[in-house]
Amino acid sequence: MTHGLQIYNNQGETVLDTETGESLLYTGSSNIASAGSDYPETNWAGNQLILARPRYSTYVNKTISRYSWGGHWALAQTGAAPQLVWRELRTQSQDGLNPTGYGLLIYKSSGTSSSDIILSATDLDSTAVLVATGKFNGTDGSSGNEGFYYEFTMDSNLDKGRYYVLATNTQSQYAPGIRGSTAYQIHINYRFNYSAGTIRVQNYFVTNQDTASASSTIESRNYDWAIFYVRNGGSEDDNF
Amino acid sequence: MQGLEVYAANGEILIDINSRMTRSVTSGTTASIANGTSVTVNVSGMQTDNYWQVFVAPLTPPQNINARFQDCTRNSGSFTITNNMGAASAFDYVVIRSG
Repeated sequence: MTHGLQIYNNQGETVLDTETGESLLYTGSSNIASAGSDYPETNWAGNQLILARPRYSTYVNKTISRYSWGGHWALAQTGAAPQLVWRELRTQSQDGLNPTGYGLLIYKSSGTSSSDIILSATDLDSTAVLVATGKFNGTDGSSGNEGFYYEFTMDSNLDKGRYYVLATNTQSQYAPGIRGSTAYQIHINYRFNYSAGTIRVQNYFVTNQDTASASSTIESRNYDWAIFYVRNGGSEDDNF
Repeated sequence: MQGLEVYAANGEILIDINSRMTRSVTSGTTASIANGTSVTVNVSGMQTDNYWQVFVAPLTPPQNINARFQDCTRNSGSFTITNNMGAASAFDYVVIRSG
């Protein structure tokens, strides 16, 4: 690098780099969605990543996913949280920011328009720190009712209400098993257990779930999952 | 200590020297591809390690409850989306980076 600015964290991971010009991702405002509604129904730009979590700590073992039925995305699905909190994970350079006042402002080398912003500290109302990532190919669990997963443990010193999962590429389906057919579910999603302080990243196909004859197989995917910790998200995140 | 710290106006810390922050690399929409086929998108510098993530969602999610949706594999310099949904669809994608 002959000129510019690079900032790393204490693990040597890049926080920003004017040479690559990649803009910082930050979080938008919180929204509430209820089961049965299109998901997200309002306030979604349609091209932004979606972070979500169950709304209340009293929800037990609820999943976060996007459920597909009839060509539409929805929240409703067996095992889903009745209500969830969701936010967009937004790109600063795509938000038409017009920074004023104090704070650090960094552009990439091509100019000083809002689309050239790499970091505008004064426009950072809340941020999302990546705390875990991997692929939907976990092998923990069993061939019974619980299925297969990788289990992430929340830091007990942090607020559990600030943990969000990347919901955009989750996949869930539910077939009730009517007229003699076998009931089944596909879980490429997340299951929150606030009592245990865990988030299971699930990847399994199960028949007759929640019965004595439940039978699961691994439904492995090559694509990515991610868990974030949201900072300064407001009172909605501080109710745990 | 070295690194960047950013605080909100209320004093809460937004970025500290431990933070693994993410940046947007690219995003877009593929052409529609048929069930059982794949599409590859080139991304300069992309690696297979966990400092890169690709998130993909179909524009027309499956009507068929027997569908197995899609998969996405990161390669060096590209990623590949495979359509297993039982129906043709284009796919939205977002590539982010954390290292």
